[in-house]
Amino acid sequence: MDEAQLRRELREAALAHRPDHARILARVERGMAEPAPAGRRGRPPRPWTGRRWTAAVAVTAAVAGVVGLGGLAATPLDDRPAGPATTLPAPG
Amino acid sequence: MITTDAGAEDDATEFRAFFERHYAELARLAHLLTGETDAADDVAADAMLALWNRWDRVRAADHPAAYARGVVANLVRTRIRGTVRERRRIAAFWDRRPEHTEDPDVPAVVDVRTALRALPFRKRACVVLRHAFDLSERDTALALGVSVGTVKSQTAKGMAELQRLLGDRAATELAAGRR
Repeated sequence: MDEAQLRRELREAALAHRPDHARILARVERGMAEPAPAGRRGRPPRPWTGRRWTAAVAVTAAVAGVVGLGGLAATPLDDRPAGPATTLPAPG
Repeated sequence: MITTDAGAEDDATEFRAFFERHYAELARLAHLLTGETDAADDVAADAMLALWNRWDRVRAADHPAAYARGVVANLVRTRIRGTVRERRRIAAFWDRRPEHTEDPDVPAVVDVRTALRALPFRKRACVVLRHAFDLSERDTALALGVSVGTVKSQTAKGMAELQRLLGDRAATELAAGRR
């Protein structure tokens, strides 16, 4: 095939497509009615660093509290340590 | 406030005029680049919308039409990049050929659009813009964001490849006719 014929076929191939005006316009108008893409992206995700630290501290405090309370509960309040042993008689 | 509204209205009117002037060309360009009818119209619409979303820049551009063609080319490239569909299509193209060769009732074994899809994207875009749309080398380079030298070499290679592919078609048709 010579180049002139190929060019002719390319031009014909381009013209062979009949775009659907209504379909294209409707899609564009739908898009124009929506907010611009920059607005659509919405709020950027919040930085989590501060919250993560807060959460870690809260969890640590809670665990410490539970362990502390558990320890207190396991120790009877009236079970005082025994007083000093009876004085031993002095030797001989 | 009134000034802003009037400005927005002017923008919309201007954009509508641009749409009516260029939608068909952009859809046809997308059609030759994608090879898909419905997808071509959607790509043209998405390109128009992208132009609307940066209308200030488009209207200030030296060559708004070239800018628009570039947006279509980018959308098509993004569409086909990263998908295996393109590769599969090329593989299918090569696989289909012998079947058709054996069937003399099928008149056109490879038409120009099928052959175009066998070209790598940049060659295809250069060939289409230069020869299907009769753009100059400079306008093609502007649209694709490449140098004029690249347009020259890619177009020449693309045309040679198409001629080879379609030359094979002619040979096949001839052989089928003789049978």
